[in-house]
Amino acid sequence: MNVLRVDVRVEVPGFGVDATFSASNGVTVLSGPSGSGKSLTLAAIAGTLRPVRGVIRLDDVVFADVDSRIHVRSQDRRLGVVYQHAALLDHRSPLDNVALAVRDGEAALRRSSAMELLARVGAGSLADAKTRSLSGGERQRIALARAMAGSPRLLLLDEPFSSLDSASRAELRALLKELVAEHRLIALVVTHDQADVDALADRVVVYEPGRTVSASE
Amino acid sequence: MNDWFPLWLSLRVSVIATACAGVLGVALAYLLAKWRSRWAAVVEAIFTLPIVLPPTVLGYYLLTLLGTRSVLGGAWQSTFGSPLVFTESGAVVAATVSALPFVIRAARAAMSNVDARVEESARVMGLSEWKVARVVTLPLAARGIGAGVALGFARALGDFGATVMVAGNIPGQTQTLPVAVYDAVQAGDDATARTGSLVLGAIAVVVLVFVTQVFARRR
Repeated sequence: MNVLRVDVRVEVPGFGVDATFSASNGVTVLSGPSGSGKSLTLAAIAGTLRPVRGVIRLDDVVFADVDSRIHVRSQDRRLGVVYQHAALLDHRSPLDNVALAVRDGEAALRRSSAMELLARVGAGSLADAKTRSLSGGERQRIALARAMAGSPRLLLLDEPFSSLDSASRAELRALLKELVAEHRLIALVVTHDQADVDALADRVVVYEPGRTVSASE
Repeated sequence: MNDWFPLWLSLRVSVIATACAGVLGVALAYLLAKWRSRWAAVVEAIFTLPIVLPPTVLGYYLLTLLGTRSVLGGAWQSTFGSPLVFTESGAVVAATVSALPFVIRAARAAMSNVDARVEESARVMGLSEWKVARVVTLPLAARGIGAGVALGFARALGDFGATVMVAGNIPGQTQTLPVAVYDAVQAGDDATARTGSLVLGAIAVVVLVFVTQVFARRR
């Protein structure tokens, strides 16, 4: 069993959030209204924002510890991320997008790993498609494959399905659950959609503007 | 116009200067786009000065900085055995400094417009800063960079004041086309002045059409 422990304060100009929760293998949903600091917490865990107080650790690996001035670079945290609008490289093919995120091995090996991942998320036929012309659901499948490509222990998903139609949403929720179970991952999903919470959550962390209120099974 | 040397010199100087300004300008623009400090604005202002300074004043500064009695000019002379000022190399330096702010400003704006989340995703998935720049930032900013380089080329080709101060006006050696046009007008050689001006005007129009097309496609 892996455990992510988060006890931080994260600030941006004019806003701050205190977040205290832990998450183990399975899907933990960070739920709450817009502007309550869910995405800020995710940014601190991803390492793209430095907390102003506290500690983030995954098992015995410290990602950030403000008092000890520890801040591990995003590159070295071994995470996968999926954002609302898949932040894919439109000038590269879907296969390239995934292969770039495979960390180990020669180019040919990285491409074959990427191909396997694309097939796993049901996007094998899109490997050489024009990334720019893909539908929202197809883009999110590729973003999921890319997030898995670095063999992460922790997946961070920020409103991953909110711009999709309901059929794609249901398919991708099921796919995410399968991937998390297969790879024994910790997944944090930021959402304000109750259907996401119902379909995905093994645990829920509820946010109110500015602070975390509760973490429940 | 019987003597085409000024045109070839101008093209050679501006191509080399554009290459120098392109490499330097893109590197500086990247640092300025990523450097979150108020000093970034000061550094950008310094490199933007050539746009607003009178070209002759810019030329005077360069002449002072690079003349044979200066530290840099002395170092150049002891390394290469000849002075930097009043040579073709001096013209390249003047054109590079004149072109640099156009590259920096366009490239910096284009890089700042790259979606931060695309860059963040690339970092989180393990790409080094260098690879993020090479695979994400530069390709996504390529059109803006291209437009800046094109404007820089036009500026380098058209520079008069800085070039004449730093490289002088030596026919057959440092006389670029804009300087030759000035010379021809002074000498009452209307035909040469007209041809030189038409050539420079035509190149400027081609560059501007290119830049406009690039920005139109971007939208």
